[in-house]
This record gives sequence, C-alpha cells and structure tokens, in this order.
Amino acid sequence: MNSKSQKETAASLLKVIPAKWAVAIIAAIIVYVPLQPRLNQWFGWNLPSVASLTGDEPAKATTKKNADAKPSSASKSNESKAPKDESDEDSDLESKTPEKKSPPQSVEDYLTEVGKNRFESPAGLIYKPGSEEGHRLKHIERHLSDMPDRPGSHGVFDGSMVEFLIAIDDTVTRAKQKLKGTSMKEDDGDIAYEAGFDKPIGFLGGETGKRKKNPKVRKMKVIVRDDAVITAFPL
Amino acid sequence: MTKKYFYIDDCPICSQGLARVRVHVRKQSLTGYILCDECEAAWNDPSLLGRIPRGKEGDASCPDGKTSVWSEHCHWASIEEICLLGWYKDIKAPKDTKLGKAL
Repeated sequence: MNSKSQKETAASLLKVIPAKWAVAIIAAIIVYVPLQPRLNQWFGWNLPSVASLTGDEPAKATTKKNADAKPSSASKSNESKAPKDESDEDSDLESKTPEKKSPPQSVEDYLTEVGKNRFESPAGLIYKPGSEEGHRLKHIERHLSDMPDRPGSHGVFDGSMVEFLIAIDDTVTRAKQKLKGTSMKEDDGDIAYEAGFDKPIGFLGGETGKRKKNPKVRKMKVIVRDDAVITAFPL
Repeated sequence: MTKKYFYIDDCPICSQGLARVRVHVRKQSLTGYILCDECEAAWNDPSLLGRIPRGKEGDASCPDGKTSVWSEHCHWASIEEICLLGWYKDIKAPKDTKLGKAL
C-alpha cells in the first residue's frame, strides 16, 4: 500500500518535471544501481541501495548484502581496469541478485604479480618475501585465526584472505587521505597506518583477548615500509 | 604443543607483537638482540631504546647490519642463551614454565 502510493508519487513527479530532467534522473539511477555496492566496498561507504530507498528492502539488508559481495566485485574491478562493458555490468548485477554469497575469490585474482614472488594490491601495496614465514602474505595470514596461547593480544580478522587484503588497502588509502578516524605515524622509516571501520572486522584473540572474552574490534593497523607491507592486523 | 614464548615486552612500535630475544651465532660467538615477532622492529638490547636499522629491502637485520634476522645463523633464543646473555631478568615467561614460576 505504502509502496504503491510512493510509486504514484514518483510517477506524478515525473509528469511535472521537464523530460530532459526525467531522462537525467533515470540515467543517474541506472548508473547508481551497479556502482553502489562497488563504491561501498571500495571506499567503505554505506550508500543505500535503490531498493532500500524506495522502501522495498530494509536498510540493514543492504549493508549485509554489500559485505557479502566484497570479494567478488573487488577482484573483478582489478581484472577490468580497461573500459567497462555494460553487458558485463549487467551480468555482474544478475549474478549477485539470486545468490546470497559470492564465491570467494583467490588472492591471485586480487593481487597483480609484479616480480618474482612480489605482488601488488590495487592500492599499490607490495607483498614480497620476508618474515619468519617466508612471505609477507603468509605472515599476515596468521591473523585469520586465533592463537589463544600466545601472550598478549592477537587481532583476528573475521573474513577470507581476499577480504583481509581489501580491508588493508582500504585502511592505507583512507589513512593516506587523512580521513576522519584514521592515523598515520612514522617511526624510523616504518609507517603505521590505522583506520576505524563502521562495523566489527574481527575480534581480539591471544591470551589477552581470551581473558577479555574475545571482544569485537573495529580498527585495522598496517605497518608499511617503502610501500611494502610488513604486517597488518585488526586491533 | 604449546609454543613457549619468552619475551621482553609488548612491542612499542606495533603494540601487538612480542619483543623477543633472538640470537645470532657465528664462529661460536653469540650476539643477542631483540626482535618484534610481528612488525620486525629490532633493538640492540632489552632497554628497547636503540633500534637496529633495517637492511636491504626493508628486512630486519642483525646488529652487524648485514645478516638477515631470518638467516640460518639466527634463531629465537633458548632460556639457556637468554641466561648466557644476562638478560633473564628482563624477560617475561609463560606461567606454566619453570622460569615463569620463578620470576
């Protein structure tokens, strides 16, 4: 009933405004629909979907859907830096609509190999050999699971490796832009980027986390040197 | 098996790593230093004041400035080695170890 009256209001509004404005508004909506989940994911925004704006879908569901679509759309953006194909946009949208969760994408899809065992993220961060584990990717992968016997804190990211890499990129990008809720601290060439997220990204593990009953965490810290990631973890 | 962690303190740089004792063994001589197992910041001693500059490619390096901390010449210090270095009073140890109970 409410939805019907809304549609009637929209139709009457379209009759009143000039045709060129109506065309411009419709074009804007067409562009907004496929871009909205991607913008949310790339920049950590929380733009509402058209469905939620018209009242057809609750706002909460919009947020969840965006989070679920994270890996899929991010890797696609990496693959297609070339001109965007409209049919590709449509098929992307179609594939998201029926299924609740996109299949997890591989790290190889998200990162670009720029040398022997060297990988670059879309934000320009480099992952290369190093650390006790032999490679930085292996080193940060430790933060995908808890180490309850480890003294002190151990931040655990709640998501896949690709989602972790996306969150790392997002942290550094926002901190470099000096956006609200971010910080950037330099110490002897090592730069520590920190950024908050609007929802929990993981929990506090390790002995300290266990003692505090594993509270949820909303911040990410990334230590970078010469654009190469040394480590990253939620805190 | 629970891994035993002997460490000096939480890392003052990244706040989440453990500043642990690591040793460089070469020609029967033992050189100790402190290394954060998370962000790989390194210090000459448990005071955590003088940082050891990173080596090539940003990798952490031993006090000699040449050897990578992950080279075959380096390893996490055992409790015996920590005692040899005279740093046993500086470390924190898990409560379920003899040292942890003694400290």
